[in-house]
Amino acid sequence: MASAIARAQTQAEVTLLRAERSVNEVFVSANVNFELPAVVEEALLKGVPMFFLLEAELYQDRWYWYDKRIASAQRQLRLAYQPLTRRWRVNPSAGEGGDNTQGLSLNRSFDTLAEALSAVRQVSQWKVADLSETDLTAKIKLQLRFRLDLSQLPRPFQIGAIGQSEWDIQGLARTALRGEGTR
Amino acid sequence: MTSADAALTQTAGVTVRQPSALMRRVTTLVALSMVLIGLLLLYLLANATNSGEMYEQNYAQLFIINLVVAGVLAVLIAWAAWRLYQRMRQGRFGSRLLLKIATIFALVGVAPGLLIYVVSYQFVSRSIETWFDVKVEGALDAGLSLGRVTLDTLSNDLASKARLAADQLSDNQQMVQESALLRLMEQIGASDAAVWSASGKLLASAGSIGVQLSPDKPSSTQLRAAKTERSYAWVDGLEDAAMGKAARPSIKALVPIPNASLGLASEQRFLLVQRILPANFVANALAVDSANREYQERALGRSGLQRMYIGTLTLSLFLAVFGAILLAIVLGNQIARPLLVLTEGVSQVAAGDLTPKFALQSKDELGGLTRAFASMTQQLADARQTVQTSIVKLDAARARLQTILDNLTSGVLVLNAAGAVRSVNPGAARILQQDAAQLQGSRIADLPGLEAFGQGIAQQFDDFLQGSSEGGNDHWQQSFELGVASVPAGSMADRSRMLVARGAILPDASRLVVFDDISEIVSAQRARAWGEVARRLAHEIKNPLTPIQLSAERLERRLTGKLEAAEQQVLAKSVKTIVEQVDAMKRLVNDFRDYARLPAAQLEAVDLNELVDGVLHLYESSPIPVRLELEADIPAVLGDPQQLRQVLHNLLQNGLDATTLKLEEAVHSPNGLAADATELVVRTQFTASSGRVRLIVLDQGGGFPEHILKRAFEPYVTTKRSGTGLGLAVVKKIADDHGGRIEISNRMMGASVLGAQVSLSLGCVANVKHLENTISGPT
Repeated sequence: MASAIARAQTQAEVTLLRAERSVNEVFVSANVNFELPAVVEEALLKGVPMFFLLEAELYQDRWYWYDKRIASAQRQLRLAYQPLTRRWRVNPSAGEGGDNTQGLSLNRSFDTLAEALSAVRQVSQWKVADLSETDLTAKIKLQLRFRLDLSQLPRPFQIGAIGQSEWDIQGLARTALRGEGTR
Repeated sequence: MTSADAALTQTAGVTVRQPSALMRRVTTLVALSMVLIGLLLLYLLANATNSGEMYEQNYAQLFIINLVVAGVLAVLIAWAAWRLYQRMRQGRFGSRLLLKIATIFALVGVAPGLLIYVVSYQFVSRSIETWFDVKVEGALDAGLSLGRVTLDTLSNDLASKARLAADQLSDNQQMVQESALLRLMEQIGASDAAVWSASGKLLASAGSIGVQLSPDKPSSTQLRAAKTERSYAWVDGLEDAAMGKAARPSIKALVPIPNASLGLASEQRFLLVQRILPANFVANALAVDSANREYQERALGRSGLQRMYIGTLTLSLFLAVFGAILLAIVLGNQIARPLLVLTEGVSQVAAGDLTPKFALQSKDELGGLTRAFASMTQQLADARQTVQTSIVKLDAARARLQTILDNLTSGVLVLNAAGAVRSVNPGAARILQQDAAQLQGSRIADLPGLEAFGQGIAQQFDDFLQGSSEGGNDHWQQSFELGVASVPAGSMADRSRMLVARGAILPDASRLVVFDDISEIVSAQRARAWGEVARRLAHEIKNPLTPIQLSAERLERRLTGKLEAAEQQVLAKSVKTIVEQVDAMKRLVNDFRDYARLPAAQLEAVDLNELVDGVLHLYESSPIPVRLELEADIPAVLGDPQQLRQVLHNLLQNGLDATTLKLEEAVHSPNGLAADATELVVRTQFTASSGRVRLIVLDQGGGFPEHILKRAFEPYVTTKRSGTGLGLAVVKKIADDHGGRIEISNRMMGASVLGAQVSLSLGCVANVKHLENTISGPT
């Protein structure tokens, strides 16, 4: 569905994407710039939590065939407003993106939406993969995809949101993996 | 279906339908499977609106598959409709019936569906609206506000108390005793208390904080806020509790501890106190919160929900309608098929096509109807075949009858009640000497020469009808004589004819007249009767003649010289008369005998010219000259020379007698014939076309009176005072024996008669041979 309406989406821009390889581990840092649409903000203010999904995929170049996917990682952030305390809260969803301890603190609360959003927007030193089995000289590309995960929303809400471009926040960026030598 | 298909393949005349039947089956299967898939998907879709993780994931896919199925059904229906339209435009048989049935079925299927749809639509849109109530929303808002206010109050209270406590702590320089903190905790009712330095170092703690390995350090922003606003309070752990985690929500207050030693550059210290929120309050607040969230979620998803329900409904309507229409078309086909077969058969029969009709093998009444119709058509065809056969037979019989009628020598006439001729056979036309076409439709009495005959027939029928009503005979018979008065004097061919007619009434009241020309028979009978008379008369008369003659001669011989001269003279004269008359009588009797006992002709080849020459020698001394006009090189004729001589003698004698008589009359009349100008002519002619030779004798006598002309060949008919009337009769007899044809006529110049002409035509040797062969051939 998402690809079918990709044209009408609210574009999220992935900037400052950096993928670094340190020995066997790959770390990703990036900024995702997007404006929160009014309908989404309204829903947030009414207490409906939103889920932002960050997907990273590593591809190894293969001249004879299409690129091989060698690793992938997902990180899901839950952004919610607590009307009782009037505080914003960002926390990783349960069971999603196992090792996301780095670059992101648990359960952060913010007084304002802007502060909470900045926490969502920033990704730093996210350990995406462990490439111990991959050749060091191999050319590896990283693809980072950011989107608002509608599938986590309540179902009637989803049906209402399907086909509405305001609900569709997406961003995509690619970069080559930089090894230690290039640094 | 299968048995019907088998029948289809068996019946040669309808094999063309097989592909379309196969196609129909395929279409039916596809349509049914589509409907089934649609219904299944619809069920899933409807279920998906209830809670269920699997359906939540697949709702969109289900929706799309349903759409596709609906689209396929729509295409199928459009195709079927297009085909129906095409068939109607081509005027294909039965398309209207099919359309009618399909329309009825489709209406039956669609109308309830539409009704249910409208009702459900209203119901769904209304009921969803009723879920969302302004009052409920207000209550939830109020609950939230209540919680919020309570929390604020608690926070402010804790903050102000913490400020007071901080003021007390400011007295203690640098070192804050744990005991002081404990006392302070009891004072303000906190569960924990801690003193933090601005740089984030835990200086002192009391309560649970102290036992924690890594107690929550206040963030820099919190510290800054506490410093600028002299106090900062917040609720901690409520979110975790809201998410169901085992947390103890608490209120935390951070206040700066005033520095007692002014101007001393010592680090700013902060007091952090924490008070655990009452559990029942937290539970209530969280209940309100979650209720509010759910309500808001639903309120936000309201349009989506509505769209989902209505979409499902609409889709189900489409599926139901399309399915109904398809089923209608299929069922209509099924039901209409026997009717189509039947009506097509009827129209074929109406057009005269009685070939065997296709019958459905199904067990229902319509199938039985088609079978009954097929057998009826078969019977009709058989009946027509029988009729045609009998018509052919009848035609043959009629043709045979007609042939018999045509070749009948008897005349057959069919007259209607008014006396007009309805049909006539060639024999009738020949006997009546009329054109058959001219006879047709005219009244016989109106035809020239047949007035008496027609009137006679009419009279006979009138009498017969009168008689038959009294129970008389079933036919009448009457002889008629034709052409007695009306036919002018002419050739022998125009002579009067004797007819025997027999009449009867046909079943359809028309009148049948059958008649024969019996002239020849009558003539022959008359001739035979005369022959018999002549033979007997001759026998009876001849016997006394010789004694008479002898007696007379003896009388003369005895008395000669014994009588006076005068008496002697009388005697001699009388005896002479007697002898002469007896001779004449002998001759007469011999003639009679000759006629009666004319021997059968001994036919041989005869040169007619030679024969004529021989006979003419005897007439060289005749007072009236005989001139010969003989055609040279005539072929030999077949005849008896003795009899032919007799014929020539008779004819010459007649001619001489007639001419002599005429001359004697001429003596007494002023403008009579000159004796020296009279002559007899004997002529022979060969007619190549008929292959016959004619012998013609012409005289310049008085000719034949009219009444004689018609009966000249009958015995005892004569113009001579002393004639026996047997001359021409003998000639006729001989001619008949020779198969010759004799004609007798008067030579006319204007109104005056120049003389008589008799011609005898005889067959040549070759022709007669041929004729004999053909006659004797079959026998």
